[in-house]
Amino acid sequence: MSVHLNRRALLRHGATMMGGAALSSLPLASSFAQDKVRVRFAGYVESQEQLTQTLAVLKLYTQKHPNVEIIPEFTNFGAFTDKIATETAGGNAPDMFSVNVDLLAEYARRGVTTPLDSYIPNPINLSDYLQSAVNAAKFDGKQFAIPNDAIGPAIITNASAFEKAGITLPPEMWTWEELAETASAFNKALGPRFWGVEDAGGNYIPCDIFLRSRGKSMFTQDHRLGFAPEDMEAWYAYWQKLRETRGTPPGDVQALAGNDDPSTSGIVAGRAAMNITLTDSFAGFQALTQDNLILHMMPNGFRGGEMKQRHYCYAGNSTTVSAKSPNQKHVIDIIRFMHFDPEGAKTYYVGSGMIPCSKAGRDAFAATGSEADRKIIAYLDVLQKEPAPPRYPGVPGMTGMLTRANEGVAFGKLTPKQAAEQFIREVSARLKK
Amino acid sequence: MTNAATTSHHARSIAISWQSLAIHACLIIGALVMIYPLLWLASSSVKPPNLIFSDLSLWPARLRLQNYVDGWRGAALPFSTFFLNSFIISGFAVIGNVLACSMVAYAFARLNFALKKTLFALMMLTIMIPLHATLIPQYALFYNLGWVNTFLPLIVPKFLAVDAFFIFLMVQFIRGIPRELDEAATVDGAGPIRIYWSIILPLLTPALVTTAVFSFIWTYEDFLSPLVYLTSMDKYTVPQGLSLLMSSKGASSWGPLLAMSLLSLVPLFLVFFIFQRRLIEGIAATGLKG
Amino acid sequence: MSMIAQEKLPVSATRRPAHRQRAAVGINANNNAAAFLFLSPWILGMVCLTLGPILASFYLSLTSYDMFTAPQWIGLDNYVKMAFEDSRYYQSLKVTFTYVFLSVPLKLAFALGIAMLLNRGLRGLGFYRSVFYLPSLLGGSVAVAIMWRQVFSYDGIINQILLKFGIDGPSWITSTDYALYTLVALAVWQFGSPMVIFLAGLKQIPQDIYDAAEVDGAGSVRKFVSITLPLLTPIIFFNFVMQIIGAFQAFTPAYIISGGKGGPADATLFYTLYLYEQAFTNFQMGYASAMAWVLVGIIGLATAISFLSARYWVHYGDER
Repeated sequence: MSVHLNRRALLRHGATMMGGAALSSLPLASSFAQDKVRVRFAGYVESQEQLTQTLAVLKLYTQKHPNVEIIPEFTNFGAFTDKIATETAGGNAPDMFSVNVDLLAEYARRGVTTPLDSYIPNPINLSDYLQSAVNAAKFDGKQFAIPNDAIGPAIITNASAFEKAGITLPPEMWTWEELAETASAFNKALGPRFWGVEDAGGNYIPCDIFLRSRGKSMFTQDHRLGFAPEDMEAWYAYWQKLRETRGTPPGDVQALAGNDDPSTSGIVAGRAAMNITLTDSFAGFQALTQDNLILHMMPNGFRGGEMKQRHYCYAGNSTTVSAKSPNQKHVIDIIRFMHFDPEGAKTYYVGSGMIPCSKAGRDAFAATGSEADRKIIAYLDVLQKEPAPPRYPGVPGMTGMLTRANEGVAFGKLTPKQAAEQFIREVSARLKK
Repeated sequence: MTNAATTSHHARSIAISWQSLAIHACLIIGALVMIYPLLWLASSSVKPPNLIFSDLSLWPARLRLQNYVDGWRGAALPFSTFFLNSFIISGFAVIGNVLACSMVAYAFARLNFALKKTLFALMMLTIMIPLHATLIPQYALFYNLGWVNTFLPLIVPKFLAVDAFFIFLMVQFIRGIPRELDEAATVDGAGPIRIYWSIILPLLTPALVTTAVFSFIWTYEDFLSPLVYLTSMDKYTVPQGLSLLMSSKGASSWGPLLAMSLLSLVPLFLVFFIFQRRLIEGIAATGLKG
Repeated sequence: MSMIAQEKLPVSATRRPAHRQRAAVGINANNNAAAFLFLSPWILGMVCLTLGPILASFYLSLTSYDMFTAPQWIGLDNYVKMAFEDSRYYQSLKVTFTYVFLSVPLKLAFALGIAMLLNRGLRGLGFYRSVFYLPSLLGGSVAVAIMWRQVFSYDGIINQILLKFGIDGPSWITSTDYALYTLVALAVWQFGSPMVIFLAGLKQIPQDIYDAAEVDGAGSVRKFVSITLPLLTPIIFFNFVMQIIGAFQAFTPAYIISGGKGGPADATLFYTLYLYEQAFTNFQMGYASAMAWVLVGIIGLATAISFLSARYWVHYGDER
């Protein structure tokens, strides 16, 4: 689409604006016509590659279904959450939109989105999909969203740094004690401005895995807290100890690094060897550094305790359908096309950076995908050998609560016990709503 | 130099030239501090992604101009679309604010009317409310007017003087203009409309230019309103175009993001550079020099 | 036009503000018809666009409202909770007041100082003016966030310099001790807007007054004290009031640190940031609206005090 800045284009834009008519110059919405079904698809994209492929598959769909017009309304995640909340509150929710696990619970609970069980398995057959991802897209036992991709928690590991420091990376099934010992060795090997692992004390998923290693979990299936205060105290104490042994950076150095933004991470800045995050960030991290990065599992237990694979996979991005949409049938058909039409699925996934949620899709990627794709799929396959119980929906603002308490400890304002109490107090207040 | 008159009496004396040398030195050091981060942006925008955050030097070790090509082309739409949308909206915002706010400011500064103080206080109140608190009722309002996904919610309010900042700004400037001028015109039989048009507006040029520049820049930079009111991607403005690039999980976003961030500043800089000259020349045209 | 200006302008430059306006005569008489004609756009905007959402937000402040289901009337509960049960609310007040008290005077001092400097007949004036305005052009964009980190973060330029002297500096931007001050520094760095307004104000001072003063033998200090400063007071007042309002509402600067979560450990939890978190992260729009109205009260009080004080130090050209 090239827009020439000529007078006609200006006039057209002027007319659009003045008349308020939805005249669109996007190829997916070629003209304004009364007889067409107009489907608004709002979402967040987490990479340029994903945006390109998503627009391509939607365009392909409208070419095959000239009676349908799809209006793409994509933006990044931060902007999307504000936009979708405003539109929904204002009575103008799009027909279909993207959600993650937390948003899904918020929107499903309040009746904004509609259960999709009646469309499963026909035309949407999820039997080949990662069951943990399918389950994580449920609320109150009903399927509220269709998972678009597969992600899992992982330690993004700088193999070059391990080599340089002469430290061996322990095997996949390792303990929290081993992580601490390995991390603390880096500061001695590579100098005072290098730390083994970035602080994950404010990070939801590692905390959940840590709790599960203790036989607990962050939430239970029936939406209650799944741990005791001393479990959470142990979590904050674990990271406090790591700070003391210089295995993890001090509070001020760590605070800038949001764990999902590679540009602020210690790995990219060249002062950390491990960062606990999710597999979908891997390509983003790798792009910003010349070092060789690999994926490694988090610890799965404690020394002397039960070792068991506890990493669950889920979808970073699922599609949900607005309860008020008059076009639900068309929306379902668009989802079907994106996921199950051979040509559609190929357009949607190949080159998008997303790992398909279906076994067939992942197998195809394992042969043809990019190097990053293949590393992620190999890692997810390891997790699937012994699937863990799924992630249960939490409450909004979890990361904020965990991080505040962790930073309270890191900056010496709270003891691990006080931090645990503060966190539990804040989460409990939310759970009551 | 357009305002050389200020110093013309002294400019040739040696003492003053030493002084001006010192001033220049201070200004240049200050200017460097001011633009260091921009230099970083410029340099990073031509680096390959794996050097942007890991190599901190200002001189790019390897050049990658492709960032600009990729960013401009965009994954969804070319940046020309976003620039065009932004220019249309900002252009109308300038006209709306200059016209409407100067009218309202004139009334508040020069005319006496019932409830003046109350209405002025009400106007000030509208700038005190945080944006996020009125966003949803306002969205519902524009949605019910059928204006969502048009430029109207971003333009019409400017013509209805909702930017109290500029009203207050112009009130202060008008009140700085001696009232003797209005009174002389009244004696000559001029009414409020003529006084507004032929006395106040010309003398208000510095404030009008300031309003125009700020209206353009602030509308161009606005993120939240376009985000919620312009839903389909072909209506996105420049900041929304940038936010599409701001998706950190992919492999190819950072270079184009920084390249387009720098490019998006160019129109702002040009507008400012051109208008700041008008700010000076405008005054010469009003005859205030005497 | 220019004839009128020539005849009427060189009046006494320093006017005493103490005299209030005389009884309404001539031009001072009520002129409702003309006034409401000039006010008509604003009145239309107020009635049709602005007032409704403002009143709605006040109503919502008295409800429990999660944005997607109908609001429930709860009276003053939100306000009570804010006052007695929310320690983070007090933290946000503390952060915001610190920011206002530091950033507003510093920013205005810089803006006025540089504007005075730039108002002289300097070579390359347009260049300097533009360069000094550049940082303000960046607003709260991504670019400025990334750049500010390049300066004040652990790996930033300041620590690179300190390292040359063997000092391992902290991460200034994310230490609970310094984070807020780096944001104050950012506000001061972006002094461009008040500077431009000061420049416009300086331009509006008629040259004749300076010329007349020069004939009387006034030096540059006296010209500044008895002409520039008094005639600029309406603009100083404007910048002062608007900077205070703006600083109380500071929102975007916090996005530079910790992605707008107010970190580290709530050290940069601005009032409006916390309000936003309540509304758009926690879906507590009723509580957020109540916070908004308390902020209106605080800003309103600050503004009212400013306006009262203005009687004693602001000199208007229209007062005699």
